[in-house]
Amino acid sequence: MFLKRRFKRLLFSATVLTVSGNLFAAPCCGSGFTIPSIITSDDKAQLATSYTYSRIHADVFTNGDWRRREKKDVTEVYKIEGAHIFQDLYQVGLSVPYQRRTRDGAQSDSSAGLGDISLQLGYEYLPDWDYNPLRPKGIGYLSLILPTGKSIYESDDGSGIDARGRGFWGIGGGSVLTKSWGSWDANFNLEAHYSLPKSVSNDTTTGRVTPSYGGSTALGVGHNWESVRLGGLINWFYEAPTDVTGTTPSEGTLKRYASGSLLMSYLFKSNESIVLSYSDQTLFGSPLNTSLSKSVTLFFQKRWQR
Amino acid sequence: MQGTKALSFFLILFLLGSCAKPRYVDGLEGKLDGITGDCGLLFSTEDLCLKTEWVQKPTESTFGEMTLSFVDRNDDSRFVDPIKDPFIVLWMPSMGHGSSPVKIERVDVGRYRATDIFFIMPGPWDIRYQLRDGFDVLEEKIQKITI
Repeated sequence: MFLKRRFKRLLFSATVLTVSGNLFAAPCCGSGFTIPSIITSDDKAQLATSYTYSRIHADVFTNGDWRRREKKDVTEVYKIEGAHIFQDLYQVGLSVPYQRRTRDGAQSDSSAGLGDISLQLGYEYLPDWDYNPLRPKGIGYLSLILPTGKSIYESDDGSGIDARGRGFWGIGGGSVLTKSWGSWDANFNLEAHYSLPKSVSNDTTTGRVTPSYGGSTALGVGHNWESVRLGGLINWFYEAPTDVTGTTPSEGTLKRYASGSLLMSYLFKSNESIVLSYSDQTLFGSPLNTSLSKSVTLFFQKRWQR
Repeated sequence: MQGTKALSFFLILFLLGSCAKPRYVDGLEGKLDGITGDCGLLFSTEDLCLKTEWVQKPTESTFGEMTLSFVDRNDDSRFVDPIKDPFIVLWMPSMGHGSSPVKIERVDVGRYRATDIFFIMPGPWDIRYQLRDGFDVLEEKIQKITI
């Protein structure tokens, strides 16, 4: 019974981690705020690597109109994520993305390099050592985003093909809640973040960019059969307007969208699992002022028991 | 079992209620207009009127090109070079970023050619016509478009 429950939790853990790693992606401006690795199982450490292929399907304007993207605009992200428990309830995490973007059209080009690195400190404020039938497991976390990826404001030719990050220091916090009942499980994530303003100077503009707040929430469910888990998840994202002062003053517009994901996890060893997921940003919500992508992620995770 | 059925029912209901309702529009490049009219855009600091004409409208596949004509505010047959530097910025205010730089070269007195005009993503854009002195923007006129 204990082993069966542990198997489910391991599968569940891999799924939560896979999805949380793809939280916010602003196609014009590189990947954005992401939650790094979180240990939601009973393990002491985990290491994961993933590959995501993402293609922009449409753009949504500020008035809610959609327009199909005719030319190929593809982003591939290779990511390494790790997390380790310390003092039983605390954990630290790190996420390092390497990104390649390829675009067709008048500015057909390709560029690759480091994205924004994120660090995390987590605390398990609702432990679940006794597998309580009602109480979920709760992990709170603080995140720090390092602007290691070049942003659109530092783009060499201004085209943004080499923009792999948002370009801002970011701090955030949130909580993940997980729970399983029999062969079913559910997860919930709520996160808020704040990006710090910065001064920019390039061929187009000289001034100060103020990005402000953002947040996301996710709700997922899954069903388990022995070593296989099938799950679904919806993420809602919100980003406050980005205002600019200087030679090109402007007031931004809020961005929002939702992403629906289908995930299949397979636990092929007691401490190793693989996840295949499909995410589609065109299916849910009422998107505004954003580009919408469809993506496939292949994710491999190895864990070490306490 | 009853619980599972109830959960499934509410999940399906929730998913259906959350479905996106896309409202697709076609490409709007064809609706891109040049600046015309009696005075076009008035730069009062130099008493100049600016008129523009597209030579090639930008699309996803091609760069755009336009001609700019500066004429005397009181005599639209007299072409005049602005004292300050003409400059064009393609700016996406909703996102808070620009596009790749536009090149401007002087063709004749009061006549300029702007090339490499390209919008890096669809959406609402500003074409900002500026008169600059180095990094200082002395006057700016904005044409709002959706592409």
